[in-house]
Amino acid sequence: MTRFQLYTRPLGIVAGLALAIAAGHASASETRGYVVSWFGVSTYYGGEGDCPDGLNPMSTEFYKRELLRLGYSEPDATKLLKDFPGNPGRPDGEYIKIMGTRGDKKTNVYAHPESAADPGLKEVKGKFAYGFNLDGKTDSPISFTDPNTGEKGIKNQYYRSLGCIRSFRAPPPAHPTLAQAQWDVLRDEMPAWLIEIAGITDSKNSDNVTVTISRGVDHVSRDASGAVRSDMSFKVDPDQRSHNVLHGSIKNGILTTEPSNIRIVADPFLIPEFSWKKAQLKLELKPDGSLNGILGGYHDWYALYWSYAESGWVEEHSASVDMPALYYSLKRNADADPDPTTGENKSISTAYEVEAVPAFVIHTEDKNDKKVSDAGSTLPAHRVEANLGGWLRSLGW
Amino acid sequence: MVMSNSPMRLFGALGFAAAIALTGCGQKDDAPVTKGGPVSLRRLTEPEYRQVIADVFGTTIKVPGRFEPDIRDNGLIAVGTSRESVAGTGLEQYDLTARGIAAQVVDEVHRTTLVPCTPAKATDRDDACAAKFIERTGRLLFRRPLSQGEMATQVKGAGESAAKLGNFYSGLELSVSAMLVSPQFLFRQEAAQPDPDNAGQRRLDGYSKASRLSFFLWDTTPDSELLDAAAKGDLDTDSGIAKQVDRMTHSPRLAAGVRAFFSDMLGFDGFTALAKDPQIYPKYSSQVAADAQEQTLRTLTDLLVTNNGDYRDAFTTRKTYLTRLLGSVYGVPVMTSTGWEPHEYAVDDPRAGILMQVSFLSLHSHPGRSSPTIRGKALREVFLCQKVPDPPGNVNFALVQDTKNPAFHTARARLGAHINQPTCAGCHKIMDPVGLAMENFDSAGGFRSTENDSLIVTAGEIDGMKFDDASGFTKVIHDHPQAPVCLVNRIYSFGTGRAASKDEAEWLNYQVKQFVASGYKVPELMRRIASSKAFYRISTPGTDANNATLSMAGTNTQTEALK
Repeated sequence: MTRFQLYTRPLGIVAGLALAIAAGHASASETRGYVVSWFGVSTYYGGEGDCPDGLNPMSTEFYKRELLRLGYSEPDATKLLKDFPGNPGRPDGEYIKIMGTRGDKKTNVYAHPESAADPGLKEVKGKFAYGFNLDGKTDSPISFTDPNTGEKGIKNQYYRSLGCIRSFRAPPPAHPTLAQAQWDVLRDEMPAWLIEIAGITDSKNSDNVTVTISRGVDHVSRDASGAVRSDMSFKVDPDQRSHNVLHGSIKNGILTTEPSNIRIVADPFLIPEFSWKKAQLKLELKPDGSLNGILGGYHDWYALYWSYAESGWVEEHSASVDMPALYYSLKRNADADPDPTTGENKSISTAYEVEAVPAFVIHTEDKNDKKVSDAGSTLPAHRVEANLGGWLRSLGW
Repeated sequence: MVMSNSPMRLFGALGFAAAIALTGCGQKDDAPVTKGGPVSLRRLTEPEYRQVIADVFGTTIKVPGRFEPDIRDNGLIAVGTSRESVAGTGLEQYDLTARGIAAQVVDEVHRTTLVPCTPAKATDRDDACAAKFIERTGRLLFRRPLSQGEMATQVKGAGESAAKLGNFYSGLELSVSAMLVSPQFLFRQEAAQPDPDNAGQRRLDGYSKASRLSFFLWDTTPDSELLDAAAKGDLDTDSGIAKQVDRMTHSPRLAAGVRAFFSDMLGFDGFTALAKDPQIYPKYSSQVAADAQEQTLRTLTDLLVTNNGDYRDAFTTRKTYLTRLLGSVYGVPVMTSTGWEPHEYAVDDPRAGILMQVSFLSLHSHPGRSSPTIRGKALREVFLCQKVPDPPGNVNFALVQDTKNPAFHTARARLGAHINQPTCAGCHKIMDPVGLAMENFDSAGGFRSTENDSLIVTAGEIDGMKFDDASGFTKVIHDHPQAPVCLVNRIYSFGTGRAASKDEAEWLNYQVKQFVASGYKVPELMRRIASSKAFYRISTPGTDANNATLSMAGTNTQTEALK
């Protein structure tokens, strides 16, 4: 029986099938498709304890600090900043030009952050963070504890650098302002990111599943509430740069994958591509059919810095990210992949929130090639009932 | 599964297929003679207006704004248009729209195509060139040649404006604008003339027949060939009409007429005011609503026109068309990134036919919940032409509206308690079993097997025919004897712009039999109606024609006659 036949069958399912799923009855192996509906830096929000040294200053504050450092008098600095924030679309404020060239010998400080002295970024000193124990060590001084599971040894130095910047702080379920702004760009500007989970024999427990992360050729569309529309169809981009196959298992409804590299093309406006090493996924298969969890791994820290700095004054100005301070912080907190010559770490431990909704993932351009499309089309998660329905019917239920 | 005797047996027993004499194409019309209806004055509907502008001036001309809403009467806007006038604000809207269209018609992009001559001087009047343009354009807009007086007025107005404004095309712009707000354009004005074959009686003139024919079959203004036929008097003869009907029913444009009819019959104008709660039905959007209408119209034209299929199969067909947006509602993959692709539901999929499509399901539901009552009422009124009385004013709907009542998990349970009220029971027994058959589909058309964790049961009975699920329900409607009767009645009313009179009951009954014998082929039905004398016949004032509207009882009489 082809998969197409399976998914169309399910619309006649009865409640008993849902009960069978809830009871965890064994079923035929299923493949489920998803489209990523949220992706953003994972930031734990625990209150003042996260940042005992306080939060980092707003851009007006560190701009004034820098103007004074550059020799401007207090009245002149105040006068220069009187028009803040100026025209958000154009760098027509004089202070913006001065800030952009505040490096040594008026060097572009965003492209050459080391032309400026380290202003010092206030970093996270709290105990908790989300992520993975990427190096296997639980007693490392940089280790965090997972606030939900209590797991020790969590490595997330990226959060340590970002977590005391105001635009990265938000009590859940709100997303941090800058993370939300970045995803708003990625979600609507780039083709969709797709996830397929193959080998599911039981929604709660499956020993061997294969997770494929890829990029589509189609963009997401929104539903009436503004969220990413579920159950849409997406064709997979055959570009192998964004094709990642991971192996893992599902235990108690939580999917965890083994460490693997993950590379996926993003959008040049923000970051051309993400490329993690020793990356892992931890995703909950939720009853409503969606996924919710964490992607963690080591990432080139300079690429992450440049994802902010490439916009120059824009994010520094609007999101209060002091670029030289961020640069030095990331460099300081990098915790993996030492350069063989300098010994400096090139990668930093990271964690990102991932949410995904059911989608049809299609692996062929040829709609008449049923063999290929049958093999490639995967079922939205909630359609597993349908498959199960067909299977149970075949058993005479 | 249909559990009772299929009404098809009733039709099968008729055995009159071979005895039917075709009308039109020069063959003898053996249909019962009717006394006709009044000469009509019908306001163009907004879709008709837009289609006419596209056909006369091209699809690149944008039609800005919206018009006054149309009136639905006897199940059709086409009938309501005979009762419509234009209010002051409506005329202002027509005027604004006309100005916008006229400006585009003569702009530098379009004038070389739409103006058939070049003025001697672009900065001054050129009455000869203006007359050529006005004569050609006015004929298509007024659906007849302009009279000498009309021509003189238009040419004079265009010339004086051109001279005053120093621009020939500004004069034409004013002329086009004036024609577009004139009653001769906005209203399809039929005209009668003495009937030379029947002393003392009148008949529609050729141009009136051309308009009836063109809007009925093509949903637009008569083309040049049809107007030429009217001018030559061809439409005053059976053979002349048959020739034009033959040409028009063999044209791809017949699909536009079929689409217009079903769009009217299915009440798609209701989508302009339709809203769903985005928190409950986030997948439902204005684009989904637009796609849903198009899906149903594509399903119907593919079945009825492209494949010349059986009308009753519209209730059971598993073939349809989908966009990706609709695919997300139906929960099926759609390969095509943009646009439409054919789709066929699996044999055991409960979704089949147009009743199980998003358009019908969403149009006949509340914003935040489904409504078996509204759906049942709609099915009876739209597809079976059975009038269901409005509810009394003092009904307490609290029980039905409380979807979270722990004592009544499903709509069936809530309605079951509601109809214990004696004033409600009568009508609900007519509507609810029909609507409950569609309860597997929520207000936005999405599938569900349970409501409040309770299994939804869709078994029921309609007019003595039992079914045990949605699939069986579609088969029952497929075989319902009133469905073809209703369709014939509706199509005839759509074409004539009025409800059929009791005087025409026998003629309609005859057409129903022809429709059945033809295999329920809609294009053939339209051809037969368009070729018939009854379609053009007008009543003579002062005669004893029984022009009382054919009531639901009348249509039931037809059903009885079929039996």
